[in-house]
Amino acid sequence: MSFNSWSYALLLLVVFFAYWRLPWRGRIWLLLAASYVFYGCWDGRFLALLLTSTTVDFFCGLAIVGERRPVTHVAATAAVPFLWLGGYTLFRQQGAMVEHWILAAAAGFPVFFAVLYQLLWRLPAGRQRRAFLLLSLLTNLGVLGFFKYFNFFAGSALALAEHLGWSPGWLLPHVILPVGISFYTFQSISYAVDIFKGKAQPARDPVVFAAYLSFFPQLVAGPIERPNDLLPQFHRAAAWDTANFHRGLKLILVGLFKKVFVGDNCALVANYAFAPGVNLDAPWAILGSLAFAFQIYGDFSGYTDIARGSARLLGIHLNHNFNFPYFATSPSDFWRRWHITLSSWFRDYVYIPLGGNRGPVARMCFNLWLTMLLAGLWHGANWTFIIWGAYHGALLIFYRLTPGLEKFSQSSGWRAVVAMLAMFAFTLVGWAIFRCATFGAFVQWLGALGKWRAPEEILWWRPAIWVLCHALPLLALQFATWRAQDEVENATWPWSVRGLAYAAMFLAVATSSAGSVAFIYFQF
Amino acid sequence: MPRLIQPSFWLCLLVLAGAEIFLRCTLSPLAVAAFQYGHHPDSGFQETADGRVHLTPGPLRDFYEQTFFRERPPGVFRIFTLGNSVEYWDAVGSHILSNTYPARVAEELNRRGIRTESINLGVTGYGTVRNEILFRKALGYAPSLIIFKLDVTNEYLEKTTAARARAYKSLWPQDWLWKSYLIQTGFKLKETRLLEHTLFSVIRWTTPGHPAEKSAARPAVKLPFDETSRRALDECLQLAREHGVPVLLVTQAYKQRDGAGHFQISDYGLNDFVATRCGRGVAMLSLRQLLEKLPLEETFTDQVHLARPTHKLVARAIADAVEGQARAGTGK
Repeated sequence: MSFNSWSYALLLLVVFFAYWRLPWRGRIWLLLAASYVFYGCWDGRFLALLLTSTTVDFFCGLAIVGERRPVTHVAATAAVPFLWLGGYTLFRQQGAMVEHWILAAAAGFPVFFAVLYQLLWRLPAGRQRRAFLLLSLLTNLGVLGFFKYFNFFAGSALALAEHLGWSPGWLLPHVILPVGISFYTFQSISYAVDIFKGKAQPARDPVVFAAYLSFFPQLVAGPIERPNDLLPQFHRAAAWDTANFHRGLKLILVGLFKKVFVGDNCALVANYAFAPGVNLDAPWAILGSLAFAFQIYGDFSGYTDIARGSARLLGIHLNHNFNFPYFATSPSDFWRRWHITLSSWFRDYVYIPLGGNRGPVARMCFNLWLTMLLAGLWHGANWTFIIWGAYHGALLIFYRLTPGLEKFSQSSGWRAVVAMLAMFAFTLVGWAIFRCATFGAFVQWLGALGKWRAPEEILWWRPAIWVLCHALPLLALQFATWRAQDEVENATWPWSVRGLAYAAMFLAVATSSAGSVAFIYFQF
Repeated sequence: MPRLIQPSFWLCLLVLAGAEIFLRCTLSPLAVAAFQYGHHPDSGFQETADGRVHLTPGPLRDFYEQTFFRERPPGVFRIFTLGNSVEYWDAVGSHILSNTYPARVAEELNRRGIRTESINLGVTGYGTVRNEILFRKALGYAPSLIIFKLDVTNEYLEKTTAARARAYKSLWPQDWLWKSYLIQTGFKLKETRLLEHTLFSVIRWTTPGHPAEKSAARPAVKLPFDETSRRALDECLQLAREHGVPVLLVTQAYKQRDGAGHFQISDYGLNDFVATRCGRGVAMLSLRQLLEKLPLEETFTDQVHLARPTHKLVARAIADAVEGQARAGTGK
């Protein structure tokens, strides 16, 4: 169920009207049910994974602050994923089936988890908290690692073995990537870590916690929320606020504009430029990367806006994820503006624990580079993502180590413009790495930069007009909301201008030429 | 607390509703109902009381202006040609009816003493599905021969327009927006004024699943048409046999570059596919076989469209192929 589908509009409409008529407890159940329907529409089997994460994190969160629950409660809750899978298998006769070994694992999980839970309580008091934190982290990272990276690492290891002359002839199982797994596991990790550090309090109601972890607007592609930001909003009934309603609708309209009008239409050009076998020259290589830059920004920030708008209609505030990233003047500025909740997650849970800026310069560089490498790997199991992370890590280090560069990027006037253009050029190279299917394809893209006239049948300047026609309205919107640094913030505009802008955006979305394109970040 | 519905929202609603009402008052339903139009059998055909049929240019079925009698005059060999921009343009961007090969076929046969009437039904962007609608229509006007040019280029567009035609007729809420004249007009304006001029070729050649792309990537693929297109063609041939109307299937040729940058000619497997459909009353003319010995730079104006001298050449080849049939049909 994609945000730009009619089924989502219907779901949101039903939830919206029911939500404001229910008392607090009813709202929590409604959100939970809607979230599970939303997630189950992708693939019902993977709800079991979400339920497993929810169970482990709920009990571990409580255990970290020393609250013990009866083992029967633990076992009964841990049996829910198995019950779900069992029911799914019984009632689903065709299509995506649950394999027997997965059913067996789900059946064994309640016993295993209940025994482990009991055993960990026998540890000395000082080590209990750490052990439960570790259990939560290992479960989340294990699930993420297996479902997201098994194919990649096992495939790479086999390829290496064959390259070295050893061919075991193993057939690897094909593991399907559950949608949004990277987002909700990261949210789970921040929940456990923040409780461990004493920054947050655990949820004491399993339904509230399940609704928090699976909150449908941000479940599959963020923003990655921290427990202190989102969880308290589930503990109290939000009061109706017309301003929230207006802002929610505006966020959804702007989000659809960015996704459907800007992102999907720029994708038509980017898909051509990065298609296998296309013979690019330099203008096409640059245009392809430029089109992808607007595609991915429109797609992801559009998604975030719709997520924030949907939540806002329910009186729930989600964090900003973007802040005019292509106007960044340095790599560190870029990461303060692009996918803010992910970059701050890596800063707080990876970079700072590694040592951050403390220690010698070499250590700081290593920390920075490793963090970005992991951030790249987070995006997907592909060498191009790892190289993209390494590239951004190298950029950050380059700016830190080059004397005067950071200062130059913070200056104003023409220097700021130069810094902005330079950073945008670096960003375009990064997007080329990100978009290429293989490293070889990226090398070809780089090679194309040296060819100013390739035997290419399709002229580049015509598609360039198409990209400009879809990117310029977005830039105009950013220009008009520059002061507020928020594309939705138009309170200072005359109401007539606002009305015309809404009509124009609606028409731009409704008459979009591109077919429905899936959100890029759903695959992460 | 702010008002629930603000003046800006009312203005937005007023602008959209006003534009919709304006368009409904000023434009004819057939001109605006774009998504049905391309799939409506009668659009572009205007029959008058004196028995004449006028083909009229329109925003989506952009025929050449032509007139013929509903009933075929005695002793006349009547040809309908179905195709796309290759039949519509005599060179890219230029459309002079008398220069196109369908018109030149008539010229050639008339020169050989056979009274021939040729009606060019080529419409830019058309593929097999919409040509099937035209084929059925043409059968109602007593044709002596139908020339059906097959081309994989527009199959992607064909599917999107077919989807839109379905959406236009659908009653589901997700299709309600397409009932609006404003949305339809905006969409068509964007498609015809911007998309076709800037991006058409890019989309056509890179859309995943595009048959031409598949064939280019895997030359072993023999059937460039998907099931829908194949079924459409088979139904046309079945109907033609039932009506006793002969059909000449012309297969498109494509100019492309090989790895070394040299031009070569391809049919993307069309010839092999179409050969399986030939037989009783159905013949085939391969443009690839006809043009492969010629200098390709001069034969085509781009990857697909024919240069003016090539139109002449194709017309002569068709005239040669159908001359015997035409003489028999007209008693010459």
